[in-house]
Amino acid sequence: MDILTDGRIIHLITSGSGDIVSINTYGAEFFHAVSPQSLTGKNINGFYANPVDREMYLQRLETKGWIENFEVHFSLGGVVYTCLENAVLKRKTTRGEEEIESVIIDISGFVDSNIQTIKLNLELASVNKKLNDAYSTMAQQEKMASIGELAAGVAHEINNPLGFVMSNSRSLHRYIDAIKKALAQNSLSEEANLAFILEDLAEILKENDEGLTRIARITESLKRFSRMDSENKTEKYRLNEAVRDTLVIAKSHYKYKAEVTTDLREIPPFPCYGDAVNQVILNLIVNASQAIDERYKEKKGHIRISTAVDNGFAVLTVSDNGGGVPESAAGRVFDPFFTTKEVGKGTGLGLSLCYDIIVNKHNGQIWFENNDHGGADFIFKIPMEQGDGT
Amino acid sequence: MSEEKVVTIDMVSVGFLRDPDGSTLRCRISGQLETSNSPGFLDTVKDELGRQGVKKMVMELSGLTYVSSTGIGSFTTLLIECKKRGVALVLKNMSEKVKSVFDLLGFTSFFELE
Repeated sequence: MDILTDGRIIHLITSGSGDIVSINTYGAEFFHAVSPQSLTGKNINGFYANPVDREMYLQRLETKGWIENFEVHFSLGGVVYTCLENAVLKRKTTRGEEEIESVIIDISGFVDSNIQTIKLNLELASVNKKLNDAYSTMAQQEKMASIGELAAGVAHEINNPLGFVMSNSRSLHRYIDAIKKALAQNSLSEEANLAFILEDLAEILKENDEGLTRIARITESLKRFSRMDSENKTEKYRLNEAVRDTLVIAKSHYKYKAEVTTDLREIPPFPCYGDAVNQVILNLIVNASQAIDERYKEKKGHIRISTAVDNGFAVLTVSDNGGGVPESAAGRVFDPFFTTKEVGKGTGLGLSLCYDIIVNKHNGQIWFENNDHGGADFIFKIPMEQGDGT
Repeated sequence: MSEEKVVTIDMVSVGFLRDPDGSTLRCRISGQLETSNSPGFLDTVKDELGRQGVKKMVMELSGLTYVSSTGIGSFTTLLIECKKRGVALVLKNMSEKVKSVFDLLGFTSFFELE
């Protein structure tokens, strides 16, 4: 047995112009010929699927005198075969003319399976991109919806003090009119009821001060909550202040459902994407109050928010005594589009966005634990020293 | 426009140029792309693609005279990388010789050609 004669490689000798001088048995079989002799004299150029291969092949052979592992494609019976060719140019042969001796290996099986994998990967990348685009759009919609909901809640919270400030303002007008009238008649006596007016004026101003302070507090919190740029990292994020601000602006979400207590330990300011972390805090508070609402309906539950520093991490825990996370949902709560809420109440994006913000954007961790009160503790940790990549 | 940075790997060379705002990366490829130089070519382009702010990569291929199936594999790997990063990839001025290999292996339709 001889490798060139009997091996599953094509051993081919052609003239400089491509006429086949000799070919082994496997080569004849590969080129769909009945015997090696039947190919003698035929031109190899006719078998090339792409004339460019032959052109480049001859160019290199002419320059170097040899080629190594050069890829060529042959078209045989409508099928394209990819092969690797190694060849030498023999300028003076016993037959007196220039010849090319080559060894060709069929690598079609390998190339075809690679091509299939590459095509599948390309299709997968396209599908992934579409999914990511859809996720980004929905995440943005979720954010806009929560901003809309928040705005409605804040408007409600402002409306209450605004109502009595406006009512007081109307009383002030009436009193001023009464005083003006009395002055005009030069009788600041009983008709004007000055003593009562003066007493009530002090009460009105006290109430108005209180109402305006409440409104100012809400608008300040809202300003701080929303002014941070989600694209850029704020250098000095104050987690406790963010918790207090979020509680003020989310008040309408929880005030009829839960009592809230806080245990906020001292946390030095740290760099992070403040706008995004605020969104996480808001989401956890709103989730907690919804869990309580689903469990108790008429009765108020309890939300406890605590913060601490643990080994270089800022840690926040939102605990509730709602229904907790059922075991069947435990592995999926942070998956996109997964929700245990009633139809129409949740998109299933809230916690997956929280995960994205804490884990991907800040190299942090977020998880939950069912607690002894029947509810759940949602906890996140953010490293207080953020690397450049986050 | 900044100065072109040229990297040569065996028989292929790649010139990189960023538009003033940095969002478009232009790669001028010339030579022959095949099994031996494809891994180096791929690493070089990926490194440049990984720089901040690239939104579009235009590969100018008029100087590319030959591409093997492995070379095509490099372009597809780059396309997948671009899709992951949300970068648009455009192959510009591909010669008939090079396009014939894309056609032969059935990859032309995956790319945006100009």
